[in-house]
Amino acid sequence: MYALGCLVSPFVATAVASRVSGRWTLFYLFLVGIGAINIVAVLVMFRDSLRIHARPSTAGDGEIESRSKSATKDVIDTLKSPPVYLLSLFYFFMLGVGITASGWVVEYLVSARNGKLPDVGYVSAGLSGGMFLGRVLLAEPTHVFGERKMTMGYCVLILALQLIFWLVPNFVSSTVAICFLGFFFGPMFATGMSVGSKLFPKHIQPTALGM
Amino acid sequence: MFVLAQAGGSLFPALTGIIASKAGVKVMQPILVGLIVAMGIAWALVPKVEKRNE
Repeated sequence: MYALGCLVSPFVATAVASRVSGRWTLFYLFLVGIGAINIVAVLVMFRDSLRIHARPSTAGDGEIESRSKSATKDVIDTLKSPPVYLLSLFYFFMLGVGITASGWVVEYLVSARNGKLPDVGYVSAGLSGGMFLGRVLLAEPTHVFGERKMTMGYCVLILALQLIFWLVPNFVSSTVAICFLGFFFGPMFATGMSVGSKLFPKHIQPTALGM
Repeated sequence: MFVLAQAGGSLFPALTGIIASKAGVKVMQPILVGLIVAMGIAWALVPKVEKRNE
C-alpha cells in the first residue's frame, strides 16, 4: 500500500504543477487531506484501546521496574549484535538509492536533459509504479529461489539499468530503464525484513527491526 | 533498522541536493551509481541465514 501511495502522488503533483502555474504549493493541500484521512483511520482502528482508562492497580511497582530493566537489557543486546548493524547498513544504502532516485529523477530530466515539466512528471510515477509491481510480483520468486542470491542479482540488474539511464541520452530508453529499476528495487525492502527476522534471535527482534 | 534506513533515506537526497547546487544536477547519476555499488557490497556482507528446523 505504501508503494501504491508512492505511485499516486506524482500524478497529483504533476497535475498541480502544470495546471496551476506558479502556485505549486497547493500540492500541500493534498498532503493535508491525506493526513486528515490518516488521523480518522487511526482513531477508528484503535478506538478500543482509546477507551481503556482504568489500569489494574494490582501490578505493583516491582513488576514495572523489572519490565523496564529487561527492556534496557534488550536494547543493549540489540546494540551489541553485529547482524543488526550489517543489515542496517544495507538498508541505509537501499533507501538512499530509492529515495534519491525517485526524488531527483524529475529534476534531472528537466535540467540536464531539457525535458518539459508536464511530460517528465510522469517518469516519477513510472518509477513508483515499477516499485509497486515489483513488490507484488517479485516477492514470491525471491522467496523460492533464495533471498541472498536474488537480492544480489537485483543489485547487479539495478546497477546495469542505472548505467543505461545515465549513459544513453534517449528519453524513451531512460524512462523504460527507470521503470525496470523500480521494478527490481521493489522486493528488496520486504526481503531485507524477512532476512532480518530470520537472523535475529527472537527476544531482540522487535527492537532490532525498529532500530 | 527503520531508524537507520530512514536516516539514509533522508541523508542521501539532501547530500545530492547540496552537491547538485554546486556542480549541477547531472552529478546525481554518479552518486546513484556509487550508492548502488555500496548497497551491493553491504548486502554481500550480511551473514548467511542458517536453515532453522521449523
